[in-house]
Amino acid sequence: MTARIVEVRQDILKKNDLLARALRSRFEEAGVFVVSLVSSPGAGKTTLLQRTLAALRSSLRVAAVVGDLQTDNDARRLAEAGVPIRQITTGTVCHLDANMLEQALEDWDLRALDVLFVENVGNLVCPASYDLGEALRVVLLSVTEGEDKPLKYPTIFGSADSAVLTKIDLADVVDFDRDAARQAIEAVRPGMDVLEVSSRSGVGLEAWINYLQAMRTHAFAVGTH
Amino acid sequence: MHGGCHEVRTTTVAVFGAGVTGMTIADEERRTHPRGVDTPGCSHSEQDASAPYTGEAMHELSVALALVELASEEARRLGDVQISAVHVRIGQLAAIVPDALRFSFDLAAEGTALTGARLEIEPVPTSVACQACGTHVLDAFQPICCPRCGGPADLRSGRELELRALEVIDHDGPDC
Repeated sequence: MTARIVEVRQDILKKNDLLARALRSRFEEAGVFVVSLVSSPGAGKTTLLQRTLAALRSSLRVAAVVGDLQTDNDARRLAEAGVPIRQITTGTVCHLDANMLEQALEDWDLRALDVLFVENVGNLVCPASYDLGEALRVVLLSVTEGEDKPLKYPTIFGSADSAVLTKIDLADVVDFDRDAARQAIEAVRPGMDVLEVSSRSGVGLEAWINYLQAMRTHAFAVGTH
Repeated sequence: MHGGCHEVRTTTVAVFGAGVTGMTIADEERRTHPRGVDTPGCSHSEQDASAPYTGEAMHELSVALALVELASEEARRLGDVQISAVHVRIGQLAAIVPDALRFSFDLAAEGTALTGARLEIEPVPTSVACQACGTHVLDAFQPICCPRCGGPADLRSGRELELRALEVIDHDGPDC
C-alpha cells in the first residue's frame, strides 16, 4: 500500500454554480427577469413583495417563488395578489439553492412570465453562498436592525446588486441614521444602488417599481444585443 | 449599472479562476458571476425564532454534503483506492466554523467511500490588492478595501471553499 496526494482543486459548491448557470441561461432564453430578495428574518421581504406584485401585475406577467424553513404562510399571503406563487419549504436548510429553485419551477412555463421573484429564506449568511441564476439580487435592511448590519454581514451585501432600506417610515421612531447605513453599505459594496421604501406607508414604492422596470429593461438590452 | 466595486469584485472572481490549475467548467463559469464564490456559514446567522431548532451546523452540513459528493466522484475516478484524508481550503470570509464542518463531514461521510477519512482544513486569510499600495492581508472584520489608502482593492483571497486534494491509499496488486 502506498499513500499519495491527488490534487483536485475544485469549488465545493461547483454543482450549485453549474445548475445556477443553466438556470440563468433558461431565464434569459425565456425572457423572464428574475429578482431574488435576501434579508434577515422579519426585514419585510414578503410585505414588499406583496406590494410589488400588486403594482406590477397590471402591466407585467409576474410570479413568485418563496422559501421558508417551515409553513406556507408567506405563499398564502402572496397569493392574495392573484398571481402564481410557489412555496419551497426547506425543512432544516437555511437557504435556497439552485436545485430547489429548479424543482420548484418544474412544469412552469417560464415564457409565460415577465418577472419572477424569488424570496429567499430569511438569513443574512448562507444565501450568499448559493447562486440561484437570478439577474438581480436585492438585499433588504430594515431600519429596526441597525445601521452597521452591512459591516457585520459583508458577504451577503457583497453578493447583492442593490439594497433596499425597508420600514423607512419608522426611521425617526427608532433613531435610524440613514447616512450611517448608506456609509456602511458603501464601505462593503462601493457604488451599490440603495433605495428607501416603506411598504406600509407606500413611501418610495414608486421609485422601487421604476427601478425594477429600469433594471429589467437594462438586463434585456444587455442580454439580447 | 454599478460603481467601481462591482467590477472590482467580478474581477476578483476571475482572479480565483485564473490561479487554479486544471481549470474546470465551473471555474470558467464562476468568472462570469460573482455569487458563486461567497461562502459563509450558518453558525453566525440569525434564525427565525419560530423555526424548530435544527442545530448550529446546518450550513456546514450542506457544505459537507456537497464536499462528500464531490470528493466521492473524484475517488471513483481514481479507481480502487481508499481515501485517508480530504484536504480543503476555507477562506476567512467563508465564515465556516472548522469544528462544525468537521462534525458535519464525519456525518456526511458515513457509509461512503470517505468513511473514516480525516478532514484537513487549511485556513486562507483575506487579502486584497490595491493598484497603488500593493497586496495586503486583512484582519478579520476589516472592510474589503485597501487598509493603507482606503481606496478600492481587488479581493485576492478569503472566500475559498475548495476541495484541494485527496490523500489516497492505493490497493496494489496481490503480491503486496
